[in-house]
Amino acid sequence: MSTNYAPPVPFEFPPIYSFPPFFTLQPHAPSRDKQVTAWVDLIRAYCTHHRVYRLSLNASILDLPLFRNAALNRSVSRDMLHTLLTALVKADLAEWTSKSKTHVFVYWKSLSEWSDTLVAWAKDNGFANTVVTGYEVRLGDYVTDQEFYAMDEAVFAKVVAHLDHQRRIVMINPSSNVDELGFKIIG
Amino acid sequence: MGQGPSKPKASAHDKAVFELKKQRDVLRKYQKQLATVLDREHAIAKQCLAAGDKRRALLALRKKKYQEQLLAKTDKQLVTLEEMTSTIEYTVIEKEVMAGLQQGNAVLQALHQEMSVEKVEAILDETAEAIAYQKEIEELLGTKLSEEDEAEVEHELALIQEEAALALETKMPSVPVTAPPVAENVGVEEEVPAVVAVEKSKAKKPASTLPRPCKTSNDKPKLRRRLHSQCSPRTTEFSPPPSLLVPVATAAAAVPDHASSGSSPTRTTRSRASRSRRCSLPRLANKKSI
Repeated sequence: MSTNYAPPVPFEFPPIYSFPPFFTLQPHAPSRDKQVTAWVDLIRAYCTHHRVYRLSLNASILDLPLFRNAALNRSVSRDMLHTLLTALVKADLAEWTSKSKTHVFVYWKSLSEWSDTLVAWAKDNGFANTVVTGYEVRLGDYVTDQEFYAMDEAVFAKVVAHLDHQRRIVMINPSSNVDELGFKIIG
Repeated sequence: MGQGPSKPKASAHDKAVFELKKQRDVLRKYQKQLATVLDREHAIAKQCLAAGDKRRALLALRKKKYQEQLLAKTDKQLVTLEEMTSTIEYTVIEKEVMAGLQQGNAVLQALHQEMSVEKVEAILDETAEAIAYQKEIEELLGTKLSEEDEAEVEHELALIQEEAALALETKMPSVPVTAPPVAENVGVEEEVPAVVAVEKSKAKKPASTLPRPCKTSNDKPKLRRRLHSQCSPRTTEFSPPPSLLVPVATAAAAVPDHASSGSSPTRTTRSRASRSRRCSLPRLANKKSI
């Protein structure tokens, strides 16, 4: 949930965000389905805009304007949040970080999409077939303008593992510390 | 994509480059840390100065100076590291270029082996033989002229060209020399001078207005012929060659005998000629009907 990224423009909430019943789970099944779908879209859009990689089911999550509309003085309940995150996971847009189901990785870009992005960056910027470190790719001076700059470490590790599995990188230094990962992106 | 059967292995120089880059990352991180510390010391110095604690402010500034020196040192180290990695990467590329050149050389050598000098010579010999054979066949079939024939042909061509040149030269008249007396002779008659004057002006005109020599050379014989047509029946001194007379006298054309044999060519002979032509017409018609 924490992110260093400051978007250049504030997120524009959809009109339904200003609709008070939106923050209460609907009892009627068809309405609830529609409501949950709308929430999934909203969460994805919000996370994309703010480059949010993680959401945690703890008290601080309700500090996010996403789940609390200060103007309406409404917020999403803990149970409803759980329902929404479960729907997000079901839509392949998120993944529980552990079996305790308290945190999710939000995949506003899927792992394969992230892989493609990294490979494309390497090809376009002359980093293909050269040794790069995890730190360099994630926080280096050459990537500050990239979408994956300051990517969540765990998500980054997953993307690298995905690339390795697809044989699109040559792993030089496997490491649990993402900054010390060493690999070559095959261009 | 990239699902190759064997996983590409990391080479030793990859590992070396990685170690260098890792060190670079460490330095980068250290620099970031130093930068925050610098800012922090600066803030502390300000705070202390505001609180009146000059001694602690100075200490903070000294620490800051020291950190700055460290930062400069790490900058140098970073440059060294970057240089090292660049050198390695460049050398790897050089090695690849070498390998490429070697491969190219090997291919070139293989190709050269395939086309040895002996083979080329043999092929050229065979080609020459084939050409000679072809020549032989041509001579046998008579399609090819011998060198003597060729020389004769050339000679004939030269002769024709010479004749043509000669003919052209003879045709080139020297009209101005002979024409004036004719004009004087004719001038005695009453009606002719005007015509001659016109002819004269015509003769001069093309020479002056049209500078192209070929044009005038063509015109001059024609002009002469026209002059004859006017004058020849009346003058005794002027005797043009028969070849020039033939196309000229349209009046005497039907009966050339009268025109040429007439002892005193006056107006009467002319009228007689025209009369005889008129007489001859029915004869011709008779002939035709027969």
